[in-house]
Amino acid sequence: MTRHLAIATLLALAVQSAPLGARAAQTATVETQTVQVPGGEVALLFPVEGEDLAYVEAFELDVTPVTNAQFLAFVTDHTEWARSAVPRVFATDTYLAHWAGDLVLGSVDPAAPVTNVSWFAAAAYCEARGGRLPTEAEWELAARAGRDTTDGYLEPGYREQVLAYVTSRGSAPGPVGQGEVNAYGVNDMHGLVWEWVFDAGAAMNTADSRSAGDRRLQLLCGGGSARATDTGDYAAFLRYAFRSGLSGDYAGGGLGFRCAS
Amino acid sequence: MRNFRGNLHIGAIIGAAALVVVLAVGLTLFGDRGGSTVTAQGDPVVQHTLADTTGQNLGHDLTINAAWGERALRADDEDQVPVADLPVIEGVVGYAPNAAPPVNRDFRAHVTVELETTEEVMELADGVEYRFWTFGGSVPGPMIRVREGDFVTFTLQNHPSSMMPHNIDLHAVSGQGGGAEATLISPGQQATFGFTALNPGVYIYHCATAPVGMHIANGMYGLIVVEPKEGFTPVDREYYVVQGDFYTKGDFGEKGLQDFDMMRAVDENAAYVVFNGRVGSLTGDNALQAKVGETVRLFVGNGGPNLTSSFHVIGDVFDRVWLEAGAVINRDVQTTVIPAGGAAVVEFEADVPASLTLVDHAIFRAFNKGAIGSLVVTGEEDHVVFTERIDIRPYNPEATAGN
Repeated sequence: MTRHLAIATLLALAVQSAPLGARAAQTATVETQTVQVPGGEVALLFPVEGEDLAYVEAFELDVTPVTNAQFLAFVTDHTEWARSAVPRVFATDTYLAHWAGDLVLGSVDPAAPVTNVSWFAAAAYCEARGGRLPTEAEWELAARAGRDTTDGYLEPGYREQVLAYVTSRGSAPGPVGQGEVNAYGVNDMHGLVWEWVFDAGAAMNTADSRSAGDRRLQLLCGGGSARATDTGDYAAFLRYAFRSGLSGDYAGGGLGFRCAS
Repeated sequence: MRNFRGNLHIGAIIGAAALVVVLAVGLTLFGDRGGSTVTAQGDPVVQHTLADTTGQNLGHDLTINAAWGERALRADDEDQVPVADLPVIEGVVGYAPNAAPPVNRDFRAHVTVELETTEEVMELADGVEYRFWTFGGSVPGPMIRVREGDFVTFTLQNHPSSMMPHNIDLHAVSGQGGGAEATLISPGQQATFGFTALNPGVYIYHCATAPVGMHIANGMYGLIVVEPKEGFTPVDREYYVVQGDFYTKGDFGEKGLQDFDMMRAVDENAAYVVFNGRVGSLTGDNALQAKVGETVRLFVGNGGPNLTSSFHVIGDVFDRVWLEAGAVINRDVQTTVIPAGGAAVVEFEADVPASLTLVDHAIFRAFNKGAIGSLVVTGEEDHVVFTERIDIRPYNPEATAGN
């Protein structure tokens, strides 16, 4: 189920521009591991009207979020996504603000998930790799797996554990791959950073602005739980609320991404 | 005329007359803002006549002591000034237990307020840490104080180090979500919206981002005070107290960093019930102070998220309580109810030296969960008001009855 994507040329460039001490870690993290997540039905916290369950086809998903080292390799190869080059419409001025320079990580952990990346930059990264951002339904399906089963909600203490992971995250995330691997073989879904999805946020929903606005309103009011499918899933509320506030140019310190295909 | 019951045309005549009285009394009493302390006699009094639906007088009076008159009749020339022509003033705030100072203005203004949301670990009790989500870095958030009719430009800023989106619902605001939709911001963003403070009173503000209960449970609440145009009656001391309930994995007093416990919150089984965000925020060196003869006003809010407060001060009687922090004043009150998401204003004269104790009189909360504070009154004894123990001796009725 697991396959490895060696990105040889990117790797070489990344190592070249990396600080000496970080070279080993960076070499280790530029390689991307993916797993296949079987398709299935997933209950979204706020389902699309008339569809209680979203059906997801089988898809490939990165095991861990994209790291600083991996993103540096991408920027090195696609300098139009360098901090000083990116048009403001694609990313706010906080884009990659934690890096020391356009192609210099500085004191940033190369093995930590890249943050301060906009939706546009994240999508471009995935596209360059021949993939795309996972949809919200795909991401939620993968995130729902527990330690032993693909429906963690059936495991005692699962929701509480996820909530504890989400709320105890620090503002400077540690290296990827240190968390608990779930039943699909996916890691770091809850404990490190928020993650972009393809259809994130009310502002990203162009298909039906009415229902998008409706979901946004539901998330903003006390009555917001009225149409949620699971009012006890607080970690999910936090995720959906976070997404509802996003616009595509947003680049924040707690938000990273992983790719799907 | 909705404040007056009974037959509309009779009510209208009586109502109009009564409100003229209110305004006249109000102007008389509040006209001199720089004046000395006004105490119990200072309340404007309105006599209402209760009539039944047939217009027949039922023969008993409702006496309502109004802090201010009805909104519609309070509109005046200054309300007609375009916002663009108003003087721009920075909002005044106060950090608990200090109330924001009186606005001290007799004109309408365009007030700017900035408030930052943060997420930080602070002590909930000695040795007990908690990951608070805050307005302004404190629990409660700062008290904001504006004047009725002010146009407020409100900016909410979410610190870049935050992990969560936040927003604000100010109960003083008439408009979508009290500002909640307009101010939803991700970490490292700020948003601005505007409102007119239409209704005088004391209002809770809180974060309203899903899951709302969790944002409130983590400490995201405070008070915004809208002074009526004529200002509040001056008092000697004003303090700012907000009650809140907390839900930790560990039981009360268990040391270390405590996580939020969702099930405990859903079950409304608080581990902590505290004033001003921490056990001991108003005791020992942090006790509130007053001197004998002074009039004390407490702006008391209740952030909740779950529990209604039975707010009481042991060792004194509230001379006046603004019920639910609105225009109706009750007198001689022992314990007042403050709902979650609500407030009250209590006032009392400090009569004799004593260590008064602020509690939630659902008393296990005070005794076992932290809802306790002190107000130390110093000054001259008055043995008529209160005499210390006159005598103590053995009492054994059976020994003297038999032999």
